[in-house]
Amino acid sequence: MRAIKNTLRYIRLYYYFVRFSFMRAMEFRVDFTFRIFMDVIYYAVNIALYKIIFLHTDQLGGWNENEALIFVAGYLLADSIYMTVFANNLWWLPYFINRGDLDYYLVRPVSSLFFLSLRDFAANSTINILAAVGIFAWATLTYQNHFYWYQLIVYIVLIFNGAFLFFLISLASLIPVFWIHGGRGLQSLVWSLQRFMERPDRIFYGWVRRILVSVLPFALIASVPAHFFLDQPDWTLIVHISAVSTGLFLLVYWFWRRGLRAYSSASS
Amino acid sequence: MFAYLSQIYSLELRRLLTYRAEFWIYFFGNLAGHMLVAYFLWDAIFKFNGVSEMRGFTFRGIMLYYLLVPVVDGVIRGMEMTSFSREIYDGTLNRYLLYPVSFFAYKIASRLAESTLALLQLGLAFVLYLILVGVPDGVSVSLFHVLSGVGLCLLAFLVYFCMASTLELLAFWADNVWSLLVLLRFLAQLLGGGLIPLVYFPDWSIQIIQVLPFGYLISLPIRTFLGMSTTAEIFQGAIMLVAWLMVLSFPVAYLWNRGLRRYSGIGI
Repeated sequence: MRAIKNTLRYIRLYYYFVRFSFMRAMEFRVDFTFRIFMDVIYYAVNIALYKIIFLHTDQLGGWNENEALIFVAGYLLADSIYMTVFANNLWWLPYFINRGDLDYYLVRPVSSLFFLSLRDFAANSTINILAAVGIFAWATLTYQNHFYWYQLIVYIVLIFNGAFLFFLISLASLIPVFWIHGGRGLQSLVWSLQRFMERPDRIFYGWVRRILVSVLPFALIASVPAHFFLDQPDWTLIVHISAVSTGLFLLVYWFWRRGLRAYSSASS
Repeated sequence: MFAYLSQIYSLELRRLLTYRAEFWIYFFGNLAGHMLVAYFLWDAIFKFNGVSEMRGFTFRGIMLYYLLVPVVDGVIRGMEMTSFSREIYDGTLNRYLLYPVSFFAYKIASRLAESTLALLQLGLAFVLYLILVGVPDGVSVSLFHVLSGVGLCLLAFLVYFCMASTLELLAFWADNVWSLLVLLRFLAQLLGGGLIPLVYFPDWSIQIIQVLPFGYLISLPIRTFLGMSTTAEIFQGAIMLVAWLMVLSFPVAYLWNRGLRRYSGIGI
């Protein structure tokens, strides 16, 4: 009973975060428009890149152009969810740690990780989720092979999980700021490693592939989930993705707690 | 005047090297991530097609191209973004108005410090590749091409500076412009040949890109370093860059003069 009450309290709190974010976004309408342009160009660039690649090859990582488009739509959707739900929060985190502003969040009667990860909902990016959903729907409708609806539903659920995985990787790259007391930790490194998420997992092999499906699970964000939709449904993929996601969450949570212990307020 | 600018340049160099560990982690991490993705992507394409050369690039040649992409990108774009706009928003632009050097001379001198470091990284990456892997077929390195490549990089740096400045100066009117700068980066990456060499683009698109400044930002300097550009192409590229520099300096001057009239000095 207490757990349900607590969950409802967090849901209500998140509702207030979202509501407040929308009110704030409406004050900055030009920024709202610019962000739409930015994301539309990002989507166009990614689709154009694959269109150009497929001018020179018929297959990439075992996928033809039609199948690759399903994968591209998947990672664009995962990216848009990440940008809307998590990105703003992670952007501010190193500033809070370096300036000692984290104090204000640690004294609140809610989980500091929950508050700092979800407080700033990027309401001005929600249109982009709609654009990404549009691209996803277009890719699915133009997909020529037969699929079951449950494959599509599981794929979408896995993409949401992919956005969460990307958040965990990004958060893990920022937590070192607690110790190095400056800069943005390893976040810029994650931005450059993000490219691994944007390529089909089957082009990678050897130790790189092993890392991408376990320690740095970029391949589990959209590429491996796409196999569930495009190939014969393989339930072991779900087990693997769930195990890695849970393991990574526990590891990042432990790392966060260690970071908080090292935090020394304004003098950090 | 020159003494002031050299002081600004050396101060900026020292600032950039403050977080040395982060600087080198990002450089090597970004390069490694970028190269690994390119390696597996092109390995898959070359293997699937069963060819050893595609549009003038061997596999080793295209790897050298991709090695130079992030460093040339670093030379022309630098690491800092949104510095003008931030200063306009928080009112710190005031101090530049009191300095005995022009605002743009100050900014170019400080950005040149970033470009110098990136040029050193470029030289390091280039030499290391040639020592470890050797000179790929189709690539010919000569002093003329290296010097021409450096010259084109510096021209491209000025053109990109003008493009970014035009967008940043919109901060006098718009409430947030960072998304426009990200948008510019996406366009420069794709149309500049940062994601895929321009020779792989469809012919109709190359004709359009040749009229725009983007095609001369990344692809041309790299192809020049690799000895893949003819002397005529180098001169034509240099003329196009100078022409674009002149064209783009008009909106920069116009927006600066109009913006300053609107600027209150206490931030927006």
